[in-house]
Amino acid sequence: MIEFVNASKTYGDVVALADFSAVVPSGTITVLMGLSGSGKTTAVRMVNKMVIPSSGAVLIDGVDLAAQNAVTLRRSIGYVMQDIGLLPHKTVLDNVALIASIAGQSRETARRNAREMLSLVGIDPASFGRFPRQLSGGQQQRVGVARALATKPNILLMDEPFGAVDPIVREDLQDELLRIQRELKLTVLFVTHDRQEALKLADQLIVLSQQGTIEQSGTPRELVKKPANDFVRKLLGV
Amino acid sequence: MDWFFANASFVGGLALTHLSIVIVPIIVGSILAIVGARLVRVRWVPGTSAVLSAVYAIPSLALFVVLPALIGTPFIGPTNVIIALTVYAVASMFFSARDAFAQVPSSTKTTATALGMSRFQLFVHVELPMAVPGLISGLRVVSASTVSMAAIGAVVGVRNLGYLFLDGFQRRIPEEIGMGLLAVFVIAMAFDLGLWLLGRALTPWRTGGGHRA
Repeated sequence: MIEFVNASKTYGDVVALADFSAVVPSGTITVLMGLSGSGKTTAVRMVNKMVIPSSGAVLIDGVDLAAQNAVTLRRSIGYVMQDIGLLPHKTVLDNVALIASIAGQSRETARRNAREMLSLVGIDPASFGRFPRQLSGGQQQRVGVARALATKPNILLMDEPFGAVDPIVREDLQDELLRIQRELKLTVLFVTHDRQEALKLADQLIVLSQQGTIEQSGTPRELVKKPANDFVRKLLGV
Repeated sequence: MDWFFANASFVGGLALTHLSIVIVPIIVGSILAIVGARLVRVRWVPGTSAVLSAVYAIPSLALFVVLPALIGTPFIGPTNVIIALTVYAVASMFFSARDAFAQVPSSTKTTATALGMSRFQLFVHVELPMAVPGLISGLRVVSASTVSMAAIGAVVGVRNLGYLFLDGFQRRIPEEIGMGLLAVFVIAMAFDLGLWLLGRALTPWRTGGGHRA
């Protein structure tokens, strides 16, 4: 379980996130939906300490992250963003295995886990030895997901991960994510501005306006049936 | 050519001395520049760049002559030539290295960091390998300029290929000067070819197809 307790972030005079409080239950997909400036990326990055709150706190399973070592913490949390950031000089298999091995797994274990995760996300073993640039965008993003899961984390953070792939591939990737999330019982915090994606994936949907102001949260069904205000109605297209 | 055959072993000896003079500046200077380019904080970069540009503008002969007075090395001999060439190598390579690191996409660094790489791991696994193409370009410039600049060391008593220019001018032997030029050119080209091959070997993803796992 991830808890945001009055988490705020300011850069000089600019407020990126103001007094954000929310709970992400374990084993579910929580989607943060909002437009640019809604603070959704800032909120997600607080969970792996890529952003340190200016005030307030973020807790995982009741433990405040403030006292935790950032590098150690990140090795226990998966992270995928739109710019996949695969290493061009490493093969598909090595890209995934590297993340497992820097986290302390032996070379053999790391490669075994990498093969397992690549198969889980639907990468053909024939592609394991290829370089990232030899794969399609959708395939690359699958590798990105496999890499995020290489250390077998319980938590997976996804920041508009499928924003750059075409709509058909995007739906495939969403289906795969739902399957993998159930199979591994992952706690997923997912950021998107796409209403179809949000409604399809979310167990809990949190709609944000500016600076992390929560306009409404609940199941997608609740929000669609009873949107709290015009902002939610407009964003969800109902 | 007669002159060359009559003096082949002499020229060979000068070439070996020449190599021994340039190898340390190229390797040590480049490593210092690469590490420096990565460690210098962003806000110090303009200052560092200005200082290094100024250093690079010092005529090499002047630096060879001034160094002994500054750091107490022997006036005659290879030590202060090696140090001076290393200083030039750092000054030249720093800029190439800084640009090479700047070209590594920030999204790649961000994901690597977010997935738990320490700063050192980020340098070894991400920044250094991805900067290789830019670093190799810089190294090719450094090696060529060091090989040619080393010849000036002959003036302060280092008997390398530059001696062929000095001696050839003084005794008016055009063949000797021509031989010196050719030998410097061949060494510079050999370094360049070596670095080009090294670059290809270190960046298989840019040329090859990748192996099957």
